[in-house]
Amino acid sequence: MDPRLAERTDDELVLLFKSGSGEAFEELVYRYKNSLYQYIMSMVQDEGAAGDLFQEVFIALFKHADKYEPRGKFKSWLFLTARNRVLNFFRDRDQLTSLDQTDEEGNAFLHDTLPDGAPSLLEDLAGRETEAEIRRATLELPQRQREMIYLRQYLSFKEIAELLDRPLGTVLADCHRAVKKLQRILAAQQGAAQEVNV
Amino acid sequence: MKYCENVMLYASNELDGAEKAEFEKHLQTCAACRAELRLMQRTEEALAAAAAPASVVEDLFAKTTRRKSFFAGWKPALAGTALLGLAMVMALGVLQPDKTAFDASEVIAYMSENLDEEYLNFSNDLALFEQEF
Repeated sequence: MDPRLAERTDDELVLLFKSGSGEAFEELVYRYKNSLYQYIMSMVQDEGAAGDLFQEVFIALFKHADKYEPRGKFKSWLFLTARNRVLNFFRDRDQLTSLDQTDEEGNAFLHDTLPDGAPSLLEDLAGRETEAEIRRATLELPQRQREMIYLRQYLSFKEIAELLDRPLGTVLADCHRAVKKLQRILAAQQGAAQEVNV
Repeated sequence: MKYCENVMLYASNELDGAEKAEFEKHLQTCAACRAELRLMQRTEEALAAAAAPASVVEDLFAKTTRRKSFFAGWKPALAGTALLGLAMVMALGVLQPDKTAFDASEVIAYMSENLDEEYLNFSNDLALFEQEF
């Protein structure tokens, strides 16, 4: 692969791909494969489904790149496509019982449609004890808050607000609540651990 | 609430210069914001993107950029068949040069000529036969 491709912007790579460069497409995949896979995995909690959805997102790009308008928002487009695929995944599995529910801004609650946190690939990642605790704690978060915590890993708050079509203030408040909840979960874990040690 | 929002924006480096300076001043006196900021930073480290499985990525490439066309696997067989046919045509040409050298009128003339000779020979032979018997 041409090493100069790594220096290109996302939009430049999409344009190169449109003009026939398969290497440009692969560079885009390499650039976002880990973050996109982890985001999808955090939502569906199923390795097989996460792999399928991950491929669907990039195949959509492969087939419909001509519809992408290069305006410097490729990453947002990619995560929005992934989020829609996750929604479809749960719709197909008839688990979207609460899709009709909306929040105060009228947005559908993707978080309520997703399964509760369970031990996953993320937990298998070896790391310091505190990191393992944090990962476990994120899985205990309600879906809306969990999604926020993961999206924050890859997108700015302004990008998240655009992606979720919510006001920036609402997104910031959601994330604040998520972090507060995380603090409480971690405190409860540490409290329980101390009781065991005593 | 303002500072709660600013913790988020500060953690993701989305505050402008003046806001950033003001918030850093606030951080020095607010243990709650410091704790929240620290947890956000630790969460970032803990959730650093795990690698997507290589098999998933390879499978994706096999379905897109490295996809083989339907006839790709048949190419060697088709090329071999074409070469074999060409070789057979050339071999026939080498083994039977006379037939290919004549056009139709020449062949008819040649055969007529031979037939005439044969016919004449046969007639001569018959005449001799009749004279003797």
